[in-house]
Amino acid sequence: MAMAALRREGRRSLAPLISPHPINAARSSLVPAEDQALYGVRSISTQVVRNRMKSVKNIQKITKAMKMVAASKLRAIQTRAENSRGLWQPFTALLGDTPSVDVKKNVIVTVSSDKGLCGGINSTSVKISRALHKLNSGPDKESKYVILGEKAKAQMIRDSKKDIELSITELQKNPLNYTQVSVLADDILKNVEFDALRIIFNKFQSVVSFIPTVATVLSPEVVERESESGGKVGDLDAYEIEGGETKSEILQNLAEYQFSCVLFNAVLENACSEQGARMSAMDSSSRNAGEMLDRLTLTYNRPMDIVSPPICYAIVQVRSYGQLGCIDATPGNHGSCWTIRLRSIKKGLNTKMIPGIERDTRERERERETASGGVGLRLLSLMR
Amino acid sequence: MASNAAVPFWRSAGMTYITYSNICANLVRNCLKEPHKTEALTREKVHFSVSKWAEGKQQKPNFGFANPCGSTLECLLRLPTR
Repeated sequence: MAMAALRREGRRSLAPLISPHPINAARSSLVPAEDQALYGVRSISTQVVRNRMKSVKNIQKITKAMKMVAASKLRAIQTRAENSRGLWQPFTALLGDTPSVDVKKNVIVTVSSDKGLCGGINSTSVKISRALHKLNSGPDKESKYVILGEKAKAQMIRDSKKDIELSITELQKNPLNYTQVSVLADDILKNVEFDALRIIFNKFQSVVSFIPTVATVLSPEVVERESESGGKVGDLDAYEIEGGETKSEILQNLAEYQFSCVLFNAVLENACSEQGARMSAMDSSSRNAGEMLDRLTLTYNRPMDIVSPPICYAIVQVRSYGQLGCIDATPGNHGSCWTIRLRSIKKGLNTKMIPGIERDTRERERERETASGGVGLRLLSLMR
Repeated sequence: MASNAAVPFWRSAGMTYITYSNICANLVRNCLKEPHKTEALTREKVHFSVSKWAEGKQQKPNFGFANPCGSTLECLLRLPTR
């Protein structure tokens, strides 16, 4: 493709050379800008390059700052997320975690972030949610979504907006705390009917690894049923119940409290993963900006040393070999001849003068053949 | 005690265990002495926006929910609208 573009470019810039006017005259007359730009073309783009460099530099500054912010937020939230793991562990010991439980009413709680620029953590939880939805849908089963965070909502709206039951945003305006999450859990419990709640979040492993995780909270009825049938739930009957409450009451309280605790942990873990992911995303984007800046600086500096004399590249055909070579052509004095340095043809042809480039084509052709020592250089195209 | 003796009073008032335990926690936090009290009470700020969906469309945020936002105790003591 690059070759084709080169050739196209070359054909266009050949036009003023073939024209009978001397090149200087052609430049002053009203020819299209692209033809005029034959000389010193490289210097006109420095302005553009400089602007681009400026904007890349600014973007780099922003991403660096975002990385710093994410790093400090991560430190604050990481300890809290790790401490909150102690909240759900007793519940898992008591009631077990049963992602494979088969119930009628499934509610999938997808935890995501409100803000973007944090890698793929939101898409991961959406993907897992969709998979779970597919897994748990059947003729007499239904699954609904409860969506936390703006980003998962935006993705879910596309294809499963019929299944969304609740959506919650602006959770992270204040620092996350248990009261807030428990009030939220309360709202979910009151507004959604469920047999099993499946909470999907990114568990924080390290700054670079987040594990999509499913936590399952069963409704009290299902827990009772499962424990009676000796199914997947842990051995509840081994525990003694204090006070005058019945088992189902205890189970209801436990299920509600379990949900708030698991959700609290899930929200914290996800917030922690979000900061970690943002940190690494911003790190790599500032590195990319740096690389881009390096490349731009190179392009910006290069035209400086070749402003005079302007060099044109040409593709020539060496007739006796039938092969294409690449040359640098430098206009000689008064534009009457071209000094051509061969680049990729060996045969001892280093510097040749090709005179009379602005003269008649046929004449020029002959002269060039002579000038190139009989090898027969044919100028196919001349380009910037 | 509530009308039905088998159910705890707070549940027959329409609360869940979460609401009940939050109110208890709030009472305990209010028993703290001053510098600690304000600090503990900042940990119970509740703010989020929740909206229901019906037939693939998002309803008005916070419509029909017990706790739009603001101080916790007020939210929690407001009885559920259901």
